[in-house]
Amino acid sequence: MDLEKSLNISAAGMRSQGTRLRVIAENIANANSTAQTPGGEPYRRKLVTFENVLDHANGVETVRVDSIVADRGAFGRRYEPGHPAADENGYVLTPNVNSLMEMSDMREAQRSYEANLKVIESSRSMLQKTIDILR
Amino acid sequence: MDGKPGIFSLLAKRMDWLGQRQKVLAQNIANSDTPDFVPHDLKPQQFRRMVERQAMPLMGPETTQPGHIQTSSSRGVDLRSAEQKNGYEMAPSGNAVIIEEQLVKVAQTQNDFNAITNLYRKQVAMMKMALRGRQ
Repeated sequence: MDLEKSLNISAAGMRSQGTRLRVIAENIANANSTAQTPGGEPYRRKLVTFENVLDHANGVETVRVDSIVADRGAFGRRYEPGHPAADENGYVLTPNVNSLMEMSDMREAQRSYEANLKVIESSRSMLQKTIDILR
Repeated sequence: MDGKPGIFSLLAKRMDWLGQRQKVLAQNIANSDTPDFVPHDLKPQQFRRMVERQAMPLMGPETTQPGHIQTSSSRGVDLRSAEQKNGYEMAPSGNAVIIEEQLVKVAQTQNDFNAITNLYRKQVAMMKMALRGRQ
């Protein structure tokens, strides 16, 4: 039935947004994770991409996380000669995480999550109304 | 006529259409962050025309076998969805879903569905009253 399918679709959307939030949490938690050795790389920011897929079991197009890729942006640099990962000039590479960007991403994920939740509520109430015909 | 009295088959068709629309809108919202996704919508159902035709039926050929050519009045519900044109906003990723717009449509669909289910219940109640003879 269409209304049950729309519940599945919205659930898939919420799952994808959940994964996105998880990746954002990883980024924020690792915003200060530098390398341990002079040649090493600090934490690289991760990005989530979504894709639209046909769910063969239900015959509907749902959404899923396509891949989690690394952000290729440049690392920051900080002068800290005493750090174990400092190079010969005393600079340490810092992760390319921008907390402002993560915050706005988080808001967007939250907004999409809530929208999916509203659709579930609406579909559920429509199903309930259909069942109420029997009363 | 699918074996139902006129008004019931009319309401059932309308409910089919609304359920399908809810599914399409759920898809749009679930894909609100998928790159290059263009929202879909159904062609508006001519419910008014359907009711008018029901009230004042034209004399037309009735299809009694699956092989018969269908006329516009005997055809079922048009449940195909098409890409929504003239969207007024598109994200840099090529996504054209506007969550607010889609949620308004969800609310409309839900209201229409409530109205139709209530009508259906009233019809059943009237029939029951007629069968019983008194309250």
